[in-house]
Amino acid sequence: MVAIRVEDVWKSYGDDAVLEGVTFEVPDGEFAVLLGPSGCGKTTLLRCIAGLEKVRSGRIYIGGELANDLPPVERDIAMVFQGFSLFPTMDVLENIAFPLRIRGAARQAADERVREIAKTLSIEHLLEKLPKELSGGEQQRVAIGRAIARQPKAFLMDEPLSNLDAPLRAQLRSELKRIQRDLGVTTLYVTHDQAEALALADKIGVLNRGTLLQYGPPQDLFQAPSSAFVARFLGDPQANILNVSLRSGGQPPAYAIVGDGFTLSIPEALGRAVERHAGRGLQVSIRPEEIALSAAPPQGDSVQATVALDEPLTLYRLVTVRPGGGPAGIKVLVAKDARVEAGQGVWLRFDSSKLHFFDRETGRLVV
Amino acid sequence: MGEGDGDAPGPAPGRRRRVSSRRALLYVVAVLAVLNSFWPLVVMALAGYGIDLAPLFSGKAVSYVAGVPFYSGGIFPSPYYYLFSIFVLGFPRMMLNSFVIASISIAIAMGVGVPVGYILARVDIRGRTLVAYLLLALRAASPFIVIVPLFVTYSSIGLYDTYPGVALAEEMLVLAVVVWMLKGFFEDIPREVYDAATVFCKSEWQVFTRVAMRLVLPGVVVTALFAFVLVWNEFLISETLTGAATKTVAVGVWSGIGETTGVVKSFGWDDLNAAGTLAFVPAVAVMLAIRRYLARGFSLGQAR
Repeated sequence: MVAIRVEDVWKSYGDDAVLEGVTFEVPDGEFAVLLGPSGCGKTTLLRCIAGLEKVRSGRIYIGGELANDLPPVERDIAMVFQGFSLFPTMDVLENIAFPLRIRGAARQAADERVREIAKTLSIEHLLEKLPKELSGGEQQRVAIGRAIARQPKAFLMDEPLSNLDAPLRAQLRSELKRIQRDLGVTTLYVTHDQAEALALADKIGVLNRGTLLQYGPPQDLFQAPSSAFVARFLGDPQANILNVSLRSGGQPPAYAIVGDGFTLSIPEALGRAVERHAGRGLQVSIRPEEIALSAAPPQGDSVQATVALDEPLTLYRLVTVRPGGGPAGIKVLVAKDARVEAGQGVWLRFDSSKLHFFDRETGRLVV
Repeated sequence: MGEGDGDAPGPAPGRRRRVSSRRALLYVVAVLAVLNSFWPLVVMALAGYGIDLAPLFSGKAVSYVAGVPFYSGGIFPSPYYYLFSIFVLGFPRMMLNSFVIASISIAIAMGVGVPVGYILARVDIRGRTLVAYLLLALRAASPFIVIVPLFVTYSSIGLYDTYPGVALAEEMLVLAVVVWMLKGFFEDIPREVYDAATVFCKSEWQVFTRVAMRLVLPGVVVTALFAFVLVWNEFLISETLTGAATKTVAVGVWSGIGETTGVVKSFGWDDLNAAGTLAFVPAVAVMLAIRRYLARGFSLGQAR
């Protein structure tokens, strides 16, 4: 069963297109995350699904039912917002009980249910407080509790954690995932934080400028990005995106990519595939963790470079090197105890199967 | 000429003196500004006790009010005029009239204004901005434009000198203010609170009654009492549309109190001032009563 299905949805404010033909579906019980930079249309898309805004064209199905013309209440969804959305004059208990009471639940039954929900969210001690007496994290817990009380077909969450500070964000993130798993409620979650998306999602959709660039399981997007944008947006530290051109010659032809200060030979099959696009500009992406760095010349093909910068991270060190002493910087992840210092000459080895080629103009995947 | 003028090792004392003289000037200006606002009230309240301040300034016991000689008798403090206003000139009756008229008109204005303010603030209907500005235009028009047609028609349909008639006319006058104030309060509710209400409520009506109304309640109280004071003090419509039965205090004060007064009596400034003070008291009392709500009401937006 499909809980949420979005078909070719377009939306514009005046002449500005905000959503341009977005299509995807969230199977029942799954946790899907829409990821994208601010202004990419992800929140608008969520609001369209909630019924808070109307689409220009396209279809939105919730629980198999066409929802385009349904008012928010009949869509049977619950929403958690980024900012302050609790009812300020009601205490925590009344806030969580609100969806129950408004549907005519008796006070006692509602109170009991609220206490259960409060327990799973560890906010039982706050029930008598007013929203303004709560911290940001507590407020969001209450907002989540209110959404749970609604017992909806789907949760819609609009950056619910982005107003919180980092440690709290990580903690609530785990809790959110646990709660979603326990309840098994279909969830669509919007964020600009790729780490949050990777941690939570069964499926990630990356949005940019109103277009859904890629939608699928996190590992698929991570290992096989369909565009340079996706490759750059997912993963921390960011993938290296390098401008290169293809060089071929010889009999049988030997292929190599030529970048700023380096030349790297690639297998013939890959070379042939790339060759069809060689006329246009190419970009290649390679993740910092997929480059091998050594202090001595290794066996086989390698690129010589100079260390420009060394940044120790918690688990690794992020080293910026300049191939051939040129200006282009490539980031490489090395072990914490590796002996690297600025100015040192090093050798890089690339696994050509981890390279992704993109059209420099459109950003689309070539190979 | 200070002795340390030339080789001043410490310019501090000089600067300090300048600061304090500037501060003194500030106090003088402040006192003048306060007097400027409250002078009429002071004169009025004192004159009601028969205390005429004019001789203090002119040195004569006879003052000229608009060219007519007026002998106040100097300074003879006495509550006589207040008691006279209350017990002889029918002042309590006029207070009651004002109260009833203001109450009816505020009830109608709020009954219409709360839903209209909500709709203008929130519901996206074609032409809502036009409606909002038409209301404002109505308010901008001179009251005379409204009064003449009302005066002409009220007599023939039996509304002249009746509570409902006057109240209805007053309501027209304050409705624009009421709607615009309430619209502001409704707009101050954060968008995400509205969104949450929309998602969780079963209808827009519930969003209005279960969420929005509770949030703007202080604003509703402030608006009602503010409008009450406006109607209480309103003169032109009351003067035109009230007769002996419904005369309000604002009119009564001006006409020299009551129908019994003749030409000479109409210059009974002491009565008039005593009455004015009495009429002023309820308005001030209301404003004082809502001053906590005023602050709360006007800061709804920040009431997180």
